Amino acid sequence: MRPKKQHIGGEPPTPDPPQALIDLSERIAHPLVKRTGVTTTEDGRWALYVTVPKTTDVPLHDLESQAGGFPVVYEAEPDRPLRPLRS
Amino acid sequence: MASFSEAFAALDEYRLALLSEQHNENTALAARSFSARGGLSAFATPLTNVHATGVGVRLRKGKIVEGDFVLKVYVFDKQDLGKQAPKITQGNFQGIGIDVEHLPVQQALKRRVGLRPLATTPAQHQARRRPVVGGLQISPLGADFVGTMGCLVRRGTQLFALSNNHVLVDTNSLPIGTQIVQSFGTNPADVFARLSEFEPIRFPQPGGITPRNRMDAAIAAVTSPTLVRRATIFGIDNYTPVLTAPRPAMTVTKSGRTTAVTRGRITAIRVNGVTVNYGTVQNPIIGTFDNSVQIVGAPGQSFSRPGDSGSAILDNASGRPVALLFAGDGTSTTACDLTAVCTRFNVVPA
Repeated sequence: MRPKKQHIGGEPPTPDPPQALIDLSERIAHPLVKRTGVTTTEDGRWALYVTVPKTTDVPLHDLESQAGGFPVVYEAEPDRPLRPLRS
Repeated sequence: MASFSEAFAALDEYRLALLSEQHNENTALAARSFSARGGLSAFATPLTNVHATGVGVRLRKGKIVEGDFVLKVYVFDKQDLGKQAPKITQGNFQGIGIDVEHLPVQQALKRRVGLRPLATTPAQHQARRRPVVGGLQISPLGADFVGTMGCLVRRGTQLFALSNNHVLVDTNSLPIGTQIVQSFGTNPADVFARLSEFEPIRFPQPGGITPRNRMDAAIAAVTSPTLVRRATIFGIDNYTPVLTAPRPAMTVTKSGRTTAVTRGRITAIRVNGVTVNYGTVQNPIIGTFDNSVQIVGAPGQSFSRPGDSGSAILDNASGRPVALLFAGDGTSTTACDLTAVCTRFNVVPA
């Protein structure tokens, strides 16, 4: 399966994410992962957010094993680099 | 049964055939209606009831038929027309089945959100306005670029204009005290603030580690409180200058110089490792950001475009600010967490 081009999550169950998930997003490391963060699954569960190259086969089992039971949402890295938006 | 690629391949031709039928129907109707009623009803004929087409999985008695892809015809109002049903919406087209599906008016309007009239136009955000409020075009005096003032912030009684480092400081380049104008140009009479503080953006040095940034932000002290109006963002009627935390799925609004007032949705928070090119394609200068907020525009709408940098991003429901827009790629928008920005400068929204 390929990573999603654009993930849109559902309403989270609590106002703030679990501290364990925040800690996880700050320490997780994988050679294919460029960005990490916090999101929700489509059905609204707190989840680890990662971006990977768009041709990557996901899920990444060695990443999931570090995720401490949190679901992992994979998004494809953008095709173009981000730009500052002044004109 | 047709595969997705077979159905998709037939879609363009089907749309052309449908448009042609709709045109024929309208022409005939117009000839009748203008003489009889003096106008056209939106759903006067079965085919003017069709508002969208696409490819999807066949639904039979409300249940999905796995793997059977069909041409979808979406109508405002589904009725059993019996023999009156247009041939082009029945049976199949080039061997691909056709499903007529009810998609209510409310959903159709949501899908066309980019087409709905804006409360304000970009030209209004770019014009010279007094008092100065959030959402308007600003620039350093005499600069050849522009951005947006997000909102006012205050420390004690001193008011500041909040925007990005790359807007107010030209990415670490301009000196403290630089005059800021609304909206743009070299006229000293347009100055309303002076650069006060900024968070430097750190870039990698040859052979060094990649420094991590947490914001692209700066503040400029307002020269006279009579030049600005507090608690106001142009084009937004429920702005409430009290911070709140961003969260996934939050519907957000921003008011900016280029795209005016737009809506979007937060897709991720506390995102680390976001790279932004402050140079050119040929000579990239890459800054890496942590603790950012990712946003995507409402369907059919870009949340931001160049010139919107510095816009304050608000929780749509409460009007409370959550983030400061600074980068994008045409599809997604990246912002700094506004609580972190306000903490850095020891200010609060005003």
